[in-house]
Amino acid sequence: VDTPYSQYKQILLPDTEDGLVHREVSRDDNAFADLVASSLLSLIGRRPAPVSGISQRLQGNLCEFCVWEIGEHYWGLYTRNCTATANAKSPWRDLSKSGVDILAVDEQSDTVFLIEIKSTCEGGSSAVADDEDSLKADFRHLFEGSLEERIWGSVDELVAHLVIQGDRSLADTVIGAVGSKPEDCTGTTLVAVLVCRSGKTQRSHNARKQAFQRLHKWLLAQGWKKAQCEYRSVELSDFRAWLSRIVEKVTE
Amino acid sequence: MTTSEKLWLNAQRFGLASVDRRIGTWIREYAAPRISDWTEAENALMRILLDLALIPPDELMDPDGRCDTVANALARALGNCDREAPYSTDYLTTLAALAFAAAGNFPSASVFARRACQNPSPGQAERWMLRTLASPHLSLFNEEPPYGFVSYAASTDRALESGSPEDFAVARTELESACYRSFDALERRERYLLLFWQQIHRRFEQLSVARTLHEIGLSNQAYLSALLEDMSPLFYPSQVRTLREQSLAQEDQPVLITLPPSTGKSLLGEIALVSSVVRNRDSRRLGVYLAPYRALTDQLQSRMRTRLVKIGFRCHIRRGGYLMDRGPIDVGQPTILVATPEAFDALLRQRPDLYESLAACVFDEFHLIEQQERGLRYEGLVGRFLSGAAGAGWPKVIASSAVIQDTERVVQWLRMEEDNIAKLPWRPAAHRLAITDPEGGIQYYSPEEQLPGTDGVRATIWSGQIDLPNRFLRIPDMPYAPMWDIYRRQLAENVVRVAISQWEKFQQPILVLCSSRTQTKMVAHMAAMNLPKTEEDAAAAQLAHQIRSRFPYVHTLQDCLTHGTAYHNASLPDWVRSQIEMLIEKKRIKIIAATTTLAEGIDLPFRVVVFADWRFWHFGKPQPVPTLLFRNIAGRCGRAWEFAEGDTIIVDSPDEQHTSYPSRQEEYRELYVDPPPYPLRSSVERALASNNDQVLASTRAVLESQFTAHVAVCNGSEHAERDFTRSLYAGLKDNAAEYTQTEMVHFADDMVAEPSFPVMKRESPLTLTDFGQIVLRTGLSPRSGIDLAYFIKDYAAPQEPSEGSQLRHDYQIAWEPVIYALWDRVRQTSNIQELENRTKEQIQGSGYPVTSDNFPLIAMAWLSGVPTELIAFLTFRRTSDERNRIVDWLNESEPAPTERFEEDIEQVAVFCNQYLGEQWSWVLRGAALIAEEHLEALGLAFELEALAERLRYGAKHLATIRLLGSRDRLVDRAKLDWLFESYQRFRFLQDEELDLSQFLDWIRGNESWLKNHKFTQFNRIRITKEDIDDLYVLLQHEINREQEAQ
Repeated sequence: VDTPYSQYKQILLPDTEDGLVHREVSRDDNAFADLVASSLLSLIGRRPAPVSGISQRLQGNLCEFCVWEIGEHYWGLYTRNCTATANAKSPWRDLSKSGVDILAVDEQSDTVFLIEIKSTCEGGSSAVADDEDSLKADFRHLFEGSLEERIWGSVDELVAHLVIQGDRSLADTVIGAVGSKPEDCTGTTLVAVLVCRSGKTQRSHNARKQAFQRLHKWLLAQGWKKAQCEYRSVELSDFRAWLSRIVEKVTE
Repeated sequence: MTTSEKLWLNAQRFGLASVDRRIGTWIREYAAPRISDWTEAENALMRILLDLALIPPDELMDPDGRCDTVANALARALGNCDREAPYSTDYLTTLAALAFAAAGNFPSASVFARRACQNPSPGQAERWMLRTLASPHLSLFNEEPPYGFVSYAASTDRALESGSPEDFAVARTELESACYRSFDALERRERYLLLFWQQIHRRFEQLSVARTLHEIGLSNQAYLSALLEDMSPLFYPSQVRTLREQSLAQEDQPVLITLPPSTGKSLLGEIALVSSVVRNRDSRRLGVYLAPYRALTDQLQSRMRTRLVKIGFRCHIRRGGYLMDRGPIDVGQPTILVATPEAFDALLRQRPDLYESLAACVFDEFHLIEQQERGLRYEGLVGRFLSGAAGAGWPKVIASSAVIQDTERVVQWLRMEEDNIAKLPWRPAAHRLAITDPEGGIQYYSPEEQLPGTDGVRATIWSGQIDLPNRFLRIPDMPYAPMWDIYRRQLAENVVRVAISQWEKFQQPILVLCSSRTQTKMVAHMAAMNLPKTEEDAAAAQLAHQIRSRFPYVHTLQDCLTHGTAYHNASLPDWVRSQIEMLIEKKRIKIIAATTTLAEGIDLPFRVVVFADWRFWHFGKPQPVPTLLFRNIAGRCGRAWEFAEGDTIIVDSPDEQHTSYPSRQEEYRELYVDPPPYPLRSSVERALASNNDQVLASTRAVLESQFTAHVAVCNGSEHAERDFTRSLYAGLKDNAAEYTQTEMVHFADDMVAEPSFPVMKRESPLTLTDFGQIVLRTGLSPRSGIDLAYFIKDYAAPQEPSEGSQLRHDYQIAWEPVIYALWDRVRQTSNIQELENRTKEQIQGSGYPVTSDNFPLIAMAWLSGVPTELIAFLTFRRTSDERNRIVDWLNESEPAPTERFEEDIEQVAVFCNQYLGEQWSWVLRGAALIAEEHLEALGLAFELEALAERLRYGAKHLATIRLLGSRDRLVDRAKLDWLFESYQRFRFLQDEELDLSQFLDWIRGNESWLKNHKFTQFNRIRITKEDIDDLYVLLQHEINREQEAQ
C-alpha cells in the first residue's frame, strides 16, 4: 500500500551511526520535495500565487511544516490533530511566529514532544549550538525570555485545542507532562531537528555531530534527563534546490 | 481526585504560596528581584494556571472564600507580575482578569481587565473579553464580539436579563459551538482564553441576579429591571449563597448577615426589605434600613431610591436626631425608610402607630451595639421588637455586620435559627495586615488567606524595612510637658514615613487613621511637607484655593492640599469635608489623615490603611482599638472594583503597659492578627468594665430613655424592668443584666415617686403618665425631662448683666437669657445627662478655649452668627504678642494664623457644631416640647424651639437656617446670616420670611458692593466673589425646588 510512511521510507535513509543523532538523509531531493509539496497543497487547499524569492521566514515555515509532516507520517511521533505549532499549520506566509515550533502529545505513550526546528542551507553546526538563533537558544527560551517564546504559549494552545475538541483526558496528559522548569517536565521529550544540507565531506558531518553533542551537554546541565533528549537531522543533497522545488510545485 | 483538588495540590507542588510572597515583597519594593526571579515566578504561575484552565465548567470550585483561595491568589499574583520588563507582560494581566472571573471574582477581574484594556491587545476576541469584564454592567453584545461569537453574546445578554435557565442553556450551547467553529480563526493566545471563558460563562449562570431572584421567588420584573439598570447583572458569590440558603427573602425569620466588608450586604438588606414588604403588602408596608452614619444613609438612599420608585415604593430618609426631622411618613403605600438609629427611634416615639406597619428592619453595622450610647439605642430598638412592640414575630430583623464572628449569643438573643446566619468569608480583595517594629522592620500577615503549604495565621508572609526616623522601644522619660509634644511629633514622623512609602509604592490613596483630631492635622501637614507641590490646576490645589476664599481660617488644610494631602475631622466645615470625600473618591488625594468617622462611614477607595495609633479613646479612657472596630476599619482598604488587594499597617508605638516590643507584638497578634473568637459585648457590659462614672452615668441615661420607650409600647407585664432587661443583649450577660435590672427598678421607683412631674405610674402594670408620654417623645432621659420641666416652671428671664455688654455690642452678640439661665443651672453638674459629656469635662478643666465663665458668651456668639474665627478670638487668653499676631492675620497683614490659634478655632468649631449644635440643640428641643405640651408655656416654648434651631446651625436668623439646611451648607453660616440681615435692613423687613427671588435680585443688584465687603472689623472676614457665586447657585437651586414643589 502506498502510504505516506512507505513513500517517505523510500526517499529517506535513516542513519544512527553516532548513537546520538538520528539522521534522515534524502536519497532523492526532488521526490522528497514533491511529497512535501503535495502534502502542503492539501493543507492550504488552494494554490497560492507564485513568490519572487524565498524569504528566511518562509524557508523556516516550510521546514517546520516538513518536519510536522514527517514527524507524523514517517517518525510516527504523534497525530497532527494532537499538536500545536508556531508556523507549521500556516506555513505559507512571510511571517514567523515565536513559540515552540511543534508541541505534540502522543496518545499512545502519553508523551509530550517539544520539537524545535532549525533549517539552514549550510552544514548546520552553528544552527545547533550557537548561543543565539539556534536550537540551543530555542530550548533556552522554553523557560526564559519573552512570554511568547516560552513554552506556555504552545502548551496553552494545545491544551485549549484538546479541550475544545473534547479530549480533556489528553489535555490532562499534556499538563501532567509539563512543569515550571526542566526538572519538573518529566513527561516531555525534547526533539531538536536540523534541516540542512548534508555536505559532501566527513568534516561537515563531524562538525554537526559535535554541535549536537554540545547541545546535549548543555541540555543536561539545564536539568533535562538524557532519555528526554532526541536529536534529528534531515539532510538534503541540495537544500536550496529542494526548497525551490517545493515552492515551485505548490505554486505552479 | 477532583480537578479542583488537583489545582490545590499543584499549587503546593509548584510553590504558589512562596511565589505569591515573593511577588508581594517585590511589588512593595522591599526586595529588588532579578529578571530571572520574575521569570521563575511567572513560570510557576503559568504552570499552575493550566490546572485552573482544565477544570470543567461544571466542576468549578465553590466561590466561598475557601475553595477558591488558590484561584484568587493565582490570579492576583499573575496580575501583580505586570510591570516594566524587557518583555511584554500584558498577557499576564489578561490572564489575571480571566482567572479572577473564572474564580467568580468579577470585581477583581474588572480591576485587571481595565488595566489590560489599556494595552495594545493582539486580537479582537481578547479585547472583547477584557472589555466585557472591565465594566460591571457586563454587556457582551455591545462590546463588539468577534465573528463567530455574536450570536452567543446576544444570547448571554438575553439570559442575564431574563434569568431563564433555558436561555442560559441556549447561550451555553452557542458558546460551545462558537469555540469549536472559531478556534482556528483566533490568535494563538486567544485560544487558551476560551477555556476560561467557558468557565466564566458558568459563573454567569451561577451568579446571575435575574436567575437568583427568580429562584428565590422574587420575580418582580420591574424591580429586576431597576436592579439591572443600576448594577452588575451578577451578584457576588456570597450574595447568591445568602439569598439561596438563608431565608433572607422568603420568610419573616430573623437573619444575621456576617459577610466581610465590601461584599454587598446593603443590597441584601434592600432585597430583604423589598421582598418582605411585597410579601406582606396588605398589612405591613414599611421596611426600615438603619445605618449608623449620616453619610451612609445619604449614600444608601440615593442608590435605592431610583430603583424603588420604579416599583411603586416610596423611599424616605431620616437622619437627624430626636425631634429634628418631623416630615410626614405615609405608609399607605409600600415604603422603605433609610434612617439613623436615633432618627428611627425618634420617629417611633412620635408615631407609635408605625410599629404595626413594620414588615422588616435592617440593622446595618450591627456590631455597633458595642458602642457607648448609640449601641444601646440599637439594643433598645431590637429589644422592643423582640418584646412584641410591633406584634409577635414582627418585624423581620436583618442584622448585618462585617465583623461579628462569634455569633452564639446573638443567635440566642434574636431567637433565630443557626441556619439563618450568612457567614461566608468570601471577599473580592485580599487583605494583608502589617505591623512595624521599633527598628523599622515591617512584618506582613495574611490572616484571611491560607494558601497550600503555609504555616498558619500567625506566620509572617513577608517582611521588609522602612527607614523610620525615630525609634522607641518604650515611652521615654518626659519630665516636662513640652517633651510630650516632641514625642508625639516624633511618633507622627514615623507614621508619615510609613504613609509616604506606601504612596510611593502604589500611587493610590492612603488613609492614615488617627486617634485624635490633633493627630490628623499633624500627620497630614507633615506628609505634605515631605511631598512635592501638586500642579496649580490639580483638583486638590483648586480646593485649597476655594477654601482660602471661603474658610480662610482653615489654613493648614490649604497647605496640605497644595501637596496632595488632607485631614478630615469634625472641626472642618461640612462643605469642606464633603469636598475632600469627593476628591478621595476621584483618587485625587494621596494621603488622608482622618478620625474613625471617615473610615467607618462611607466606602472610599483606599489602597492602604495605616493605623497611626493602636489605642483610641473608648469608654472614658485610651484603650487598644477593639478587635471588631479594627476589623471594620481595616476592611476599608482594597475597595471592590478598585483594587484586588488591600493592606492595613499598624505603626508600632509604646504605651505604659507594654514597655517591650515583644509584649506589644503579642498584643497585636492577640487583638488583630489572630484574635480568639470574640463575642460581641453590649455597651452595658463594656461600660461596667470601664469602671468610669461618667461612662456609667451616660449609659444609665440611655438605658432609662430606652426603658421608657419599652414601657410605652410593651406594657402589660407586671415585671417591666425584668422584661426590658431580658429584651436586651445585655440581658444575656449576668453582671450587665443584674446592673440593668437593678438600675431600672430604682429608676422606675424614682419616676413614680417624683412629686411634681412623675413620668410613670404603677397601676399594674407600669405605665407612662401623660408627662411621661411627652418626655418619651423627646428621646431624652426622663430624668433630664423632669429637670427641664422644673427649669421651665421656675424660669424667669435673667437681666442682661452690664459685664461684657460692650464686648457683646462690639461683636453684635445678642443677649440670650435662656442660654444664660440654663447654663447657670447645669454649669456644675446636672441631671441633664445629655449635656454631661467629655466636652463638659473639658470646659470644666483647663487648656480648653471654652470655659465655665465664657460659655454663655461663646454660645450667644454662635447663636448670633459670629464667624467661627472671631468666636475663637473671643476665647483668646494667651500673650499679647500672640494676640497682636492674630489681629495681624485677621487684618491680612500676616499670611497665617498662629498654630495655637488655628487649634483654638478648630476646638471652637467642634464645640459649637457638636456640643451646642447637637447636644444643646436636642435638649432645647425637648424643653420646647415639654413647655408647649405639658406646661403650656407657649411663649417660652416658641423661644426654646427657635433657639434649638439656631443652635443647630449657629445662626441668628431662621431664614438663614432654612438655606443652610438645604444643601451641603455651601455658604458659610456667618456670611449667609450677615447677608440676610443686610437684606432685611435694606428692605426694612421685620419678619423672618424670605422671598428667595427677591433676595436673589437684591444680591444681584448689590453684587459690586457686596463683593469684598468686610462685615466685621477685620479685613480677612469678608464676602468674596466665590461666596456670591455660591450663593447664586444655592438660591437658584432653592428657587427651582420651590417651583417644582408647587
